[in-house]
Amino acid sequence: MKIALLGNPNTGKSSVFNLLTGMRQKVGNFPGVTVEKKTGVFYDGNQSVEIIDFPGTYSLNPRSLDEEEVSKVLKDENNTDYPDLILAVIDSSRIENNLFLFTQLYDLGLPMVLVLNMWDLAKKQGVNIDLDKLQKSFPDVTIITTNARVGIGKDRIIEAIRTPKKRNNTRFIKKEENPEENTPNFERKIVELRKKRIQELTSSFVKKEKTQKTSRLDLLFVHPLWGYLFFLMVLMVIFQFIFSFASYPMNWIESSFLSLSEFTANTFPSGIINDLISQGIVPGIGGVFIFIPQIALLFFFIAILEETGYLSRVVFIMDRIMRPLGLNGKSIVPLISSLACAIPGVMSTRTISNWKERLITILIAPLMSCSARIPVYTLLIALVIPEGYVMGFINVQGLVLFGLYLLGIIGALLTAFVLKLLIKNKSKGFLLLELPNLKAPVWRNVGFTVLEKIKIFVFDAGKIILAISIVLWFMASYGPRDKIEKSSQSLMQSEHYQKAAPEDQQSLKSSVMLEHSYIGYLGKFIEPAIEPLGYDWKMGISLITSFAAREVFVGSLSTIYAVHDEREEKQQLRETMKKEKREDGTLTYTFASGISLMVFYVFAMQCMSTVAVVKRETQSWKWPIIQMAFMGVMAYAFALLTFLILS
Amino acid sequence: MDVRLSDCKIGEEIEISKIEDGAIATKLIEMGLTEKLITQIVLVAPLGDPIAIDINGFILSIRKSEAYHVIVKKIKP
Repeated sequence: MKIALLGNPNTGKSSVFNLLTGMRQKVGNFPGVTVEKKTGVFYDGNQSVEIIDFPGTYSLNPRSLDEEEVSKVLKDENNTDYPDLILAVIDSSRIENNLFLFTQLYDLGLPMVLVLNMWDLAKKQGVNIDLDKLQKSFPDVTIITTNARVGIGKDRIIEAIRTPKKRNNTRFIKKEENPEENTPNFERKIVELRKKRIQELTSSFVKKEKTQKTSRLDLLFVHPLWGYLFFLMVLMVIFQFIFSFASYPMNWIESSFLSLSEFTANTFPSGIINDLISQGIVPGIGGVFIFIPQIALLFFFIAILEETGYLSRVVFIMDRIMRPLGLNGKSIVPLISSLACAIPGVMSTRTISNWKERLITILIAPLMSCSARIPVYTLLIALVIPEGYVMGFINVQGLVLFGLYLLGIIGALLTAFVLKLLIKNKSKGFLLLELPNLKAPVWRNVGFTVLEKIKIFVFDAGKIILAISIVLWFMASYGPRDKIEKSSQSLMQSEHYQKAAPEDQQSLKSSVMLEHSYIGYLGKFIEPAIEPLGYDWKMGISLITSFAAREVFVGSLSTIYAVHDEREEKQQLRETMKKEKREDGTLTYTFASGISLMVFYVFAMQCMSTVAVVKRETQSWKWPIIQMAFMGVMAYAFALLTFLILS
Repeated sequence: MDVRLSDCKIGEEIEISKIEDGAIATKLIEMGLTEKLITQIVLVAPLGDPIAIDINGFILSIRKSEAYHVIVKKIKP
């Protein structure tokens, strides 16, 4: 049996879903569209029941991509997701409003169970519903009451699903009552008729004792001063947690994957398969897993903000500020998330219903400086920015770091503005946003959200990340055979090599190998292109390898400069880089080329994981390619400009 | 006296008299902004936009450009 779970947003629909299915749920997409499809299974005795959690919607007249999908499935009997029964969830305290969708569903003629959720809350708020009268109006629908937030009502739902009432071709609005199609405003007239009928009906069985007052917290949350300050505080807390707590599991994941590569390298017979596994696949999978702690923590906090209803207050106060840039109030969460990591940032754009606003948000998110840029920034700053203070107390190096972040943010906002003018808009942007009651989060729902996001990332984006790492590994380990042999022979004969200590010999060898690999040749090939920016082919190699992830930049430079001492790696690398000279005898890393390189990293899309996620979220290669192109052009142009001005 | 919802102040008791035809008129009605509804603006975002109105306990936030198309009568100032 197939059941469709339907209801307005904020009715506790996902609580009902989680209550029924527990861990037996999976997330996918409806065929051909980006709309998320959550399915779950539960057992009634021996019978397994499939339940589809449709996106929350206010009406079957679609307004967003999500709602379009809902009405498409429900109006097509041959659709694979067409249900045998509709489970409609209603927030009892807002029954009049919620009945709109319910009566639309009722008129589809499918067997139905109506769940009056938040029953206790409604009573507490003074909303009294006469169940008998409601039942009389919809005699062929099973009506039950639940409080899914606290886990009450599961048995009643299962019981009702087991023996659904037969429908007797009854309709709330009879077909002949509808105004004639294609007359002016006919859609509006239908809606008005339905609304009017619902009002007449509810006035007979709903009694409201008192009216609510705006909560005091709300007055704080939307206050012109305190509202923004509170939001800033929430952000600072979240970032503190992400930066301080995510690093432990990340280090742990990194070192376990390192040991795993070493283990496979040493255990299995050496050869190309061994290299592929120990240097390509294992580090590739490690590169996927390393992001899980940050994704999990970020979505943990976002889920809490969403569950409590605070997030919609943030959208409320940010909307006016974001609008001139072609963004939506809802863009604020993805953009801030991207300061930690663009991957969860891009994934969290789902809440933006307007496609253009969502697309612009996705396209500019990677311009926010993420945490993977920090190792690159700190290495280069230490290299070319002298220590010292401005005005006696501002650390110059810290100021440069702040400047880089600011550059990213300004770049992102200006890009948004340009994209707004370039991208064609199908529908006018609007904001119809419900501000749900503030309430404590349901931890079970928070947990399920976090699990779901991790699954999406690992299985969808993970595949692409793994594939690209294998390609990069191959290109860095192999090259034209005769050239590698010739160069390593000439290295071994050199006096310089023979005098070196054994461990130095190993590093020198890897350095020569990398220089003569396919990536090495690629680095030399692009040298003419990056020379105007002040870079040489060694930096070229690092730029290419760091496409896997920005932090790889540091590791690649270490290999090229034959730095081997792991503990002292960073310091040793810095010393080597400081002395590094060009063929004409001038220093390679000058103030100008260093700053130019930093500017390049601010704008360049040096992250295959983000590319993979953007591909997944936009369901095509078109947008990630456009994004890589414009970010690349920006990186090149601004780095060139920087170098020309400074040198 | 008929005024536009976008010109109303927070806390004024108002009655909706008409929603002008437009792209989202139907959406507004679906969300509960029906004629004769007695309501008030309960929250205003900084910079005066968007605003939030109370529809029988359902708090709906809309932009001023949308509120412009909602014609209301002031009941009590």
